Amino acid sequence: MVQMLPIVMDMLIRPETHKVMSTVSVDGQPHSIVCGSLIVIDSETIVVGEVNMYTTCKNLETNSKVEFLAWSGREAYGIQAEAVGRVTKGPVLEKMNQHLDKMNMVAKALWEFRVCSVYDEGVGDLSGTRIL
Amino acid sequence: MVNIPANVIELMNKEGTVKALVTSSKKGMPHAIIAGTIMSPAPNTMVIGEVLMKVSSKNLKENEEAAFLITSGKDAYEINCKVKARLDKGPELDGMNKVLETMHMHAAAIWVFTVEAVFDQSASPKAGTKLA
Repeated sequence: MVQMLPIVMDMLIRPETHKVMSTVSVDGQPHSIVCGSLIVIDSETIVVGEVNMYTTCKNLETNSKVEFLAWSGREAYGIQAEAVGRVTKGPVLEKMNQHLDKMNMVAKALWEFRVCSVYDEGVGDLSGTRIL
Repeated sequence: MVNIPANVIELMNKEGTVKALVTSSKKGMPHAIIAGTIMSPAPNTMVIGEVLMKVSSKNLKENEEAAFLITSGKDAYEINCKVKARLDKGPELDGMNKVLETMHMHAAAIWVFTVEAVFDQSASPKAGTKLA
């Protein structure tokens, strides 16, 4: 378990930042989704709303490893994490659904992830370097 | 092998479309990268230039399954692929490197993939629908 640096958390929090979450099926097929409903709870915890997440949920049932890729311009970070739980009620889910309601969307649940490592994935010589 | 629908190729070629390659290690850890060199030279083929692709290249040597995420606004598609070849010389690579040279980048090789399936990944109830 590691703690994300403020610069990485900021990249995840900013609404204009692009975010993708990737998972892998039991037979090794990778799968990515655009991840709009993401909240950073603290420096080591990320939660994602379960909105139209059929293949991702199926993958998480057999393989808890995920990677979040967040980027803006030439800066990018890859955050490797592990699913630690799925909650179907509570204040965080209610708050997320209030926000999603404006876009006619609803999250059935929240997936909680613990951050394991962070890599610089920006365009440059440092690309692929583990920073945490 | 399947053909990518024309509207997906059109989105891929549109300026501003985000294109990502996602791979998996043999241990099931996903890894996504954003790349401008992702393209479809034929409806049943995807290619990417190997530019700063250390982890992705390692993963592709261990696990031939890959996916491309193509997204613009609320539209998104996933193209599941399998590695066909890695070309480290030839006219295709020379042509790509001529274009990359203007951006001070260089591809060590071109990865060629056969298309296995195409899915709608839009932010809508259609997410996960198999298109081809």
